[in-house]
Amino acid sequence: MRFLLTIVFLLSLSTVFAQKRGYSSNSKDPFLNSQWYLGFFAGINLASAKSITSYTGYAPLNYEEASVQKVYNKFILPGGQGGLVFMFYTNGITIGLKPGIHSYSIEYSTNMNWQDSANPNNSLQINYNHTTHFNYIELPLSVQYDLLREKIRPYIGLGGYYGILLDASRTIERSGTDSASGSAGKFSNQPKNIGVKDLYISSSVGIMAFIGASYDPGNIRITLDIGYKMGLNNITNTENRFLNNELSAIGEALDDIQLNNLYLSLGFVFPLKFISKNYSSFN
Amino acid sequence: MKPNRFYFIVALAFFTGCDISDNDISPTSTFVKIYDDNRFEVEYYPLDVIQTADNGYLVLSELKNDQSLFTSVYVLKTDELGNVLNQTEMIAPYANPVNSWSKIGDKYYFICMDENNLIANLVAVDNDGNLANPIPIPGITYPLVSTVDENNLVLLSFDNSNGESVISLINETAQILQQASYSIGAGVEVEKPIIDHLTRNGRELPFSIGKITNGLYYFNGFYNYTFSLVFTNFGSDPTGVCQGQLSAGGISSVSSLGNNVFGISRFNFSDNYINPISNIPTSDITSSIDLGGNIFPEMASEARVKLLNIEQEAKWLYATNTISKQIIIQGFSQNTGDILSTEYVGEGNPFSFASFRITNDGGLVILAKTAVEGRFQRIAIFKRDAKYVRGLLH
Repeated sequence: MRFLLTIVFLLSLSTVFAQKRGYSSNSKDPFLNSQWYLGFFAGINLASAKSITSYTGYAPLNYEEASVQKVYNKFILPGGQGGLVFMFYTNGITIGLKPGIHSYSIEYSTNMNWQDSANPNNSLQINYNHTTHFNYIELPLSVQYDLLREKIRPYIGLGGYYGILLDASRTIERSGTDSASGSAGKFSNQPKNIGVKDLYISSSVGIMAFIGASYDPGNIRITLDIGYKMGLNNITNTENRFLNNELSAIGEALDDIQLNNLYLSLGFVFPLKFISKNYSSFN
Repeated sequence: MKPNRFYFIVALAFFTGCDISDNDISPTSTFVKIYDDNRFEVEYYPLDVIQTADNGYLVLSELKNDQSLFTSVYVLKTDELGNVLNQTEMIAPYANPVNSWSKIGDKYYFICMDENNLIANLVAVDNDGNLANPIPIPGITYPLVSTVDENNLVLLSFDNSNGESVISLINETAQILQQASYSIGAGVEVEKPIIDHLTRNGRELPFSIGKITNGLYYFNGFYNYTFSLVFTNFGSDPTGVCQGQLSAGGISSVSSLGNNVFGISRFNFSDNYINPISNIPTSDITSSIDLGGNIFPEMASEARVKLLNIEQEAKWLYATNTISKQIIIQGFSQNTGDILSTEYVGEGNPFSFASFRITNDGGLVILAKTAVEGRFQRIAIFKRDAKYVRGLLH
C-alpha cells in the first residue's frame, strides 16, 4: 500500500511538472519537445554508516570507554541495486523515478582485552567484526540537467529517495588471541548469522547527487550514473536498540546511524513516443 | 478537490506518519549494560539493585577475594543510562555483603560483616553512591539476609557459638529493637551448609526474611535441623513452621499476601516448583512438600529465585535462571494462579539472575551476573520499559 501510494504521488507530481514545462516551452508543439522513457537499471554500491550517537553495551569499570567503541570501516563492502526507470524529458531536463531493490552492507568492529594483573602474559584479546546487510525497496525521484545535447550527453542531477526496509541480517565474526590457555595462538570462530530487521526502522529517506552520461545509439538511451546518496534519518530502531539477546550478551548496542553510499548504475531506457522513424525528440 | 492535491495530501500524511517521527525512544527506558573489568582475575557476584532518587542505580555486589574466606563488598553507582558514576570496593575487614538494599528515608542501607570478629555491620549509602562508616550491630554474627521493615531493618543471622538462627529488628543507627533466637539443631551437618553458603564454597541457600502483619514475621532459614519457613512474633518459640528436607528441600522464594496466603517457589532436591497462591498456616507445623505447585523443569537447580508483588495489578513476577543459562521472568495472577507470560533475557554468554525491581518509570531493572566470553564473571543490568512490564502482566 505504501509503495502504491508513493508511486501515485510521485507520478502525479511529475505529470503536473511535465505539463507545465511543456506548455511554457518556446516550442510551438510541446508534444514534439518532450519524451517519456521506460527501462531498467542495475549497478553496484559501496555503503557506509555515519554514527550520529554512539552506544555500547559495555560500561568499563577500570578502563576508558573509548577502547570499546565501534570502529566503522567505510565504503568497503559492495552492494547492488536494480529496478525500473520511468523518465520524462523536456528541454534538456529529465525527471526520473527509479523504483528498485537496493542492497547495502556496512561493517564495524570492536575490541576487548583482558590481562592478569600478576602475570601480564596471561591475556585475552577478542575482536568482533559485525557486517550488516540491508535490503531496501527504494523510490528515488531525481531531476537531471543535460550539460550538452550531443549523441553522448553528460549530465548532473539531484534527487531524493524514500526507502522501505525489506530485510536486515548480520554476520558476526569472532577472532582473537588467547594467551591464557597455555599458548599464544590466534583463533577465529565460525561466523554467526542472525536476523536483525527488528533493530532497524522500516523507513529510510535521503538525498542524492550524481553525475553521468547518456548515449543514444538509436531508439534506446543508455545511461551511466555515478552518485552519492546521503541518508537523512536515523535508521536504528531506538526502541529495540538493546532488545536483541544475542547482541546484548556480547555488549553490543546499535549506534544511531545514517546510511550513505556511493553508487554506479547502468540504465537502459526506451522512448515511449515514436513520432516518426527518423524523428528524435532528444534534440 | 483536484486529484493531484488529494494525492499530495494523502502522501504527506503517509510520510509524516511513518516510523521516522516515532523513532526517538529515550535510552533510559531500555538498555543493557555489562560492567567490565579488564583484570583477568577479578570476579563479581551481584546481589541487588535499587533505583535512586536521581533515577540512577545502586548495585550491591560481592567481589571475589583471594585473601579472605569471604567475598569483598563492592558498591556501584550509575546514572539513569547505566553509565558508571561512582564505585567503591570496601577494604578489609569488611566482607560478606548480604542480599539486598533497604531504603530508609533518603539513604540506602546494606549489611556486611567484619571478617575479623564476624560481627554484622550496617552501612548507609547516599544517593551518589558514597558510603558512610560501617556501624557494628552488637552481638550479631554471620548476617545472612535482611530486608526493610518500614523505617527499620529486619535481619536474619547465624549465631555459631549457640547454633541458632537469630532474627533481629534494628533501626538505621544499628540499635536492636527486637530479637529472637531459634536452635538450628546440634551437629556439623546443620552448620556446614550455612558456612559453605557464607564462604561461597557450597550452595547459595535461599535465605529470606519478611513481615506478614504487624508483629508477625517470617524467615526462611535453618530451624530444628531443616531449612524451614519459620513464623515468629519474636517469642521464645516460633508460632509456626513449614519444614523443608534438611537443606535439600524447602522454599526458595516467598512473599506474603496476608491471611496466610503466600506466593512461593520451592525446591525438592533438583526439582523446582512454583505456587503463586499457597496457603501456609502461620501457627502450625507443616511441610513444604505439601505446598504443591507446578514443576518448572526449565528452572536451573539451586538457582536464585525472587518474586515481586505487583500489588496494584494483583500479579506476581517471578525471576530465576534456566538450565540454558538465560534469565526467565514469568507473570502470574494472584487471583487465579494462572501463568500470564514468560520472557527470556540473555543469550550466548551465560547469565545468572541476581535481582529485579520495578523502576520509577514503571519499567523493570534486572540485575544479573554474566560470564563475559564465557569466563569473566561480571555485573550486568537489563533495563526494560513499562510496555515490557505490561506485557509480562497481561
